[in-house]
Amino acid sequence: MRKLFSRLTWLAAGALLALILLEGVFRLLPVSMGLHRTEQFKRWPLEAYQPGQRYTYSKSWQFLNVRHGVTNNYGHPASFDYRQRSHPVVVIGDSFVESLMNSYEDTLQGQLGARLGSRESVYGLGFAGLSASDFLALSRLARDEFAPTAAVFVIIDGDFSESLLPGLGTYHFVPQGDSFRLAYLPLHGETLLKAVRSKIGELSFYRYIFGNLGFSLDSVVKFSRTKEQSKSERDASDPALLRRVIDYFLAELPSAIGVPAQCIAFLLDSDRYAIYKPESASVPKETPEIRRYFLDQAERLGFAASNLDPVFRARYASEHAKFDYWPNDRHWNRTGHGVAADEAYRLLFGAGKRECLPSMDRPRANPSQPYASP
Amino acid sequence: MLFNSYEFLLIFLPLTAAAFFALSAWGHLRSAAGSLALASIIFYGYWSPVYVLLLLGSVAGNLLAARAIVQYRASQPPGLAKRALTLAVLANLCAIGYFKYANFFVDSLNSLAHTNLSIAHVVLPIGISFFTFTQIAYLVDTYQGKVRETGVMPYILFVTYFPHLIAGPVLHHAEMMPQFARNDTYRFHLDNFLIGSAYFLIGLFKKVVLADGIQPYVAPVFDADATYALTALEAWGGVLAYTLQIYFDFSGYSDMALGLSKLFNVDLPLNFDSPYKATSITDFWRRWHMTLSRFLRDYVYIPLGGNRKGAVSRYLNLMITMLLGGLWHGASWTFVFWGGLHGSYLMVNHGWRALRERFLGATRSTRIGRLLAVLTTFLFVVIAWVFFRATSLDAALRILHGMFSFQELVVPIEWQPALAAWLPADSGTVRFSHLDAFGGTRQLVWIAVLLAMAWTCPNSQTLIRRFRDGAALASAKRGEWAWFLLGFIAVLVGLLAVINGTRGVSEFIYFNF
Repeated sequence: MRKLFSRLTWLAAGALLALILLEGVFRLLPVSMGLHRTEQFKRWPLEAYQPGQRYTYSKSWQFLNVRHGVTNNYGHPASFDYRQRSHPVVVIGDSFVESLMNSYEDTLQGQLGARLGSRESVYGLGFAGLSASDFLALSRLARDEFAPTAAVFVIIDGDFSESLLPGLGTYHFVPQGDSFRLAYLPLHGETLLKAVRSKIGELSFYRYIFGNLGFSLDSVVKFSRTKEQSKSERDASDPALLRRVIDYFLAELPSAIGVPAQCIAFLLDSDRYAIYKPESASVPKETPEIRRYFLDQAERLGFAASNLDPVFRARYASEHAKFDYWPNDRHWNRTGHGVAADEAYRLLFGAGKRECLPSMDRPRANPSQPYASP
Repeated sequence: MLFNSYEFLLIFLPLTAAAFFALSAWGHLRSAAGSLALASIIFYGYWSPVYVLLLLGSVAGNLLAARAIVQYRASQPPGLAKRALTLAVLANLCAIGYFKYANFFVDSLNSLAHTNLSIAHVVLPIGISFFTFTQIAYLVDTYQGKVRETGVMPYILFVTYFPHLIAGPVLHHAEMMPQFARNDTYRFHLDNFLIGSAYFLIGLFKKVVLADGIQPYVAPVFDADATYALTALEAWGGVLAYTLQIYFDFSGYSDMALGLSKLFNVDLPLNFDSPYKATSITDFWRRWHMTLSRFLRDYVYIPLGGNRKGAVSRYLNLMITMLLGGLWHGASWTFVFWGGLHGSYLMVNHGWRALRERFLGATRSTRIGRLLAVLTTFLFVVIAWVFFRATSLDAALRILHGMFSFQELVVPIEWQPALAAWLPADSGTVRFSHLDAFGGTRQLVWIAVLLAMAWTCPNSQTLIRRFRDGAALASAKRGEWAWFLLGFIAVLVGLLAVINGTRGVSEFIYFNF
């Protein structure tokens, strides 16, 4: 027994030394770390991460797309602070808008600001994993905080189906009769476990495993789905329900963001890998019919909408430049963001259109007065 | 089941080792051997349960045939033993011919004779080349009276033993069966466990970090659209990436197999010895896939006559051996061509050596001469890899055309700001452009680092020898240190397994052969 204990002690000591050495090594490497979600859950995702944080971003096991930065006063990775009631153009979306893998100047919001001649007139409000339900909640917060003159929404495959799935710390749509209500599933409260996790979360080795590698226990042990989870997932792929979600989202959005439909632009991303190499196409989460339905409805209701697929195809045919970090990361690179910025500019400000222009110092009579739904 | 998967590392290996050593400790040596054989069959069946029947049928059939040969040799006229051998070898060749080469033969016949024959697509049972040819060798040696160990369990383990079953090394019964028969194998040896773990760690590192790290730069070149004109930079980048990928992938797999086997106190033969340091093609084949080279030498080249019947016959035998070696890798003309290229390289190499000895005598090569020899050998090996990896002969020729297109230097447009001063774009010989099949500076760094490793670093067996000697020096508290090192290694293996697991399935290249 004593022998066994001695062996286990030596085994554990060896393991511990390896962990300490690995921690030392990873501290020298650009591990993705430093971003901590805001504690102000009622203001999330308007306030994304904690403000004024130094962070490092990198992706995958081999530290691709390394970026260093500091979050602004609203906890977004922007190179300037946002101001209340400043009437900007807001760009809303998920990790495509958050765009940690690009420098701010290269992002859609950065490039759109440059085209408008004032980089501080466009605010990026992105957060990884957001879906249509979060966009709606974020729109309300942005309306009250910034009183925007125009909004750009980047819509990615899965944004509508995922908005029906409850997830910790996110909003989701709950069907209610013919309509929906927005529900928020809070993150766990202040517990000892959370405190411990937050301490461990400061370790580079931990951040590498869970951040860069995206490791989860699910990948090792296949947990069985609960009945509720299975039902939610089934519902989320029901085309009829998805159409209703789209209708509800489009009906609510103008009043939620406080901007008329013609000053709201939708940019529908496409499967760019399929453009480069048809056999690299991914399996879509939402059918082309749902995508078509969204575009048709948006146009019918007077929104400005662009399907980026033909735009990307045309650009690829002429320039052969890729729009993302193919084959490692599907997020847009500078070129991809540039295409999106061009489209957003054309939709909102093209052909001398002036009513959506940001007016950073222009006071609105009643900024929180919602626009009527179309 | 892959050696680098969670199910193997967290379930299969611990359970197999626990059962093996527990049964051994309780004195049930036959049961311990049986548990290893059963685990090996489960390991094989995890891929496709149906083909377990093929594997077991092959083992049973060959074992019976070997018994019959032994019996006929002892009591009957020798002709009967020869007939039994011929029949058994033919049965093996028919099996592999059907499963591995049927589609290839039909396709080749169709294209040659302009016929339209068709058969259902036959799925290649994993590892069939390995377990078929090792058993043919066993039958031949049985006929020649070279087999000493004839036990049933050692034979079953020799064929099915999971560390080598899927992708080698190609084993010889004489080095394996006695190990399964000796009692000492069925004891827990901490030293062996430690050395095995260290080998496994090195192999896993080669696979997960080095081979899989450079792998993304291969497919854009080798799977490029036929209409896409590869530039020299793209073609060389992709081909060098593959040259390094296949080495680190296969030698990594072999190290892992060696290490796993060592955990169970069984030594597998070495399969690699720094092949890219070879100073000639002959030297390369002494260092690359050494167990296959040995098999081809002993069971193809020498039976054909080897070098015993003059120079012409020797060159012919070399060519036949390498063509068959190419075909062994896969049912495709690209593999045959690859084998043929190496056959011609070997012929030139032997011819050159004969000429040199004749006119210059036994001269010692200089350092620069050796360096040039390494680079020349490497260049020709790289060219041959193009055929090995290409999806067709046309594709291979397209890539080679790209490699040697130097009329215009096409440079990635991202490099323009840095290189514009040195490479004026209007010179007519330099053009900046988007390169679809080139990964930029990162790819160059990968290639440079891996080439430096392949050319300058000690290989796995040298590292292990140093590790073992180092561990032996710290022998004052050897047991404790061994457990300490095992804990250290376990964390590193865990990290590599997680890196591998989060990237998705990454098979070994030699699983296809």
